[in-house]
Amino acid sequence: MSGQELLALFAHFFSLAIFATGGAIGLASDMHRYVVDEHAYITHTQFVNSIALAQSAPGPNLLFVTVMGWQIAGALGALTTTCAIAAPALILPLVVSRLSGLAQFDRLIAALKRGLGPVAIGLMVASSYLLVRETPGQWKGLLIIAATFLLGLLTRLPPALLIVLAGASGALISW
Amino acid sequence: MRPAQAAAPPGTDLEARPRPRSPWDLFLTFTLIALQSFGGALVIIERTVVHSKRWYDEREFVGIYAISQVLPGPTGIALCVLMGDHFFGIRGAAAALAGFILIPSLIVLGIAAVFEQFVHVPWVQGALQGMGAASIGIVLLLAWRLSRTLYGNRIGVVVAALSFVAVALGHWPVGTVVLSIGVGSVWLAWRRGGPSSGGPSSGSPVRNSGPSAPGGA
Repeated sequence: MSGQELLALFAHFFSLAIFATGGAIGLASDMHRYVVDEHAYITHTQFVNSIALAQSAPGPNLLFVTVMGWQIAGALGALTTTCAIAAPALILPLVVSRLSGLAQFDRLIAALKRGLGPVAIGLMVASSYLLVRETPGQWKGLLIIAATFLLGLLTRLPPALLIVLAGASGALISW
Repeated sequence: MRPAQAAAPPGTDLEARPRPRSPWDLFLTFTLIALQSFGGALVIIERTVVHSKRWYDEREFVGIYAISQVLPGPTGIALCVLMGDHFFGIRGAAAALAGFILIPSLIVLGIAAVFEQFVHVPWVQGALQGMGAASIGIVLLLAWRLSRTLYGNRIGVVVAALSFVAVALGHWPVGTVVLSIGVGSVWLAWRRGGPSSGGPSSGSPVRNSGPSAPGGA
């Protein structure tokens, strides 16, 4: 991957992080369009694997971005995507110290939260829609998705455990 | 969430609140937080900085969490930066952020490298397929839980639906969605808010995520 492409990748993830409202997974659908559909840096399977590995390993889930970068361009790629996602937040202290002087700061944050919350939810649903829609046609994948969803909904089993269990079943069955 | 230790009313505590000793202390604390987070770091962050370290009381944490959600950056990253900065300025922000992602990212990359080494072994491929499908189920679960919080909020439902359609079907970039639908939605919320509207101080900050919620950070 050329330096120019890395720079463009950085710029794209950086701009996504600026507009992130809620968690990083809400950005997955936009990221997928960039790294899988438009540039074909990685396959859809690799994209999903990066989410699965980050969710099952210790550490914040947003590290799927790190795994994705690593799959795209090795260590340099991992550094690129991770820094791009983390960097915009570094201006926060400055923003907050400026804004918090405002008489209506609390009202502003409340309005932002109430206004952007539903947008974040729409983004999350878009990410899950993309992931489910692109599940490789086999019914086994859909069955595991459904089983995980229901187990997560009905029991208090931690997500990482569900993923490890699904990994074990996936290793045993023939696909 | 865990109300057990939050009984003392906020603001009545006259003793000096404990604080991290150094940026290094912040780094270690956030490394430990991250390493305990198998899916959903926010619950662990709250438990650590509010209940065990007592660097923040519940109300302060709710405020800082709300800011982290809405201002730039994914929520988990923003929380680290704001908390680190609060204690040690930019050095603290860098220390907390590095603690949160440095060692965990080395671990997850190590795991990814091992998988890649054996990716041609059929059962390893099968395991990855299974894990991938399960992680989709987890993302779906989070989306479901978040969507249920919109119950009874008609404007919210419309905004969420529009955002979904714009990104998933219209292929709009996230930035465009936030600057159009998001700005409109915030404007409506601001108008409904009224000048006397209270701050972001109600309820548990991470109630939408729940203890087993993934994807939150």
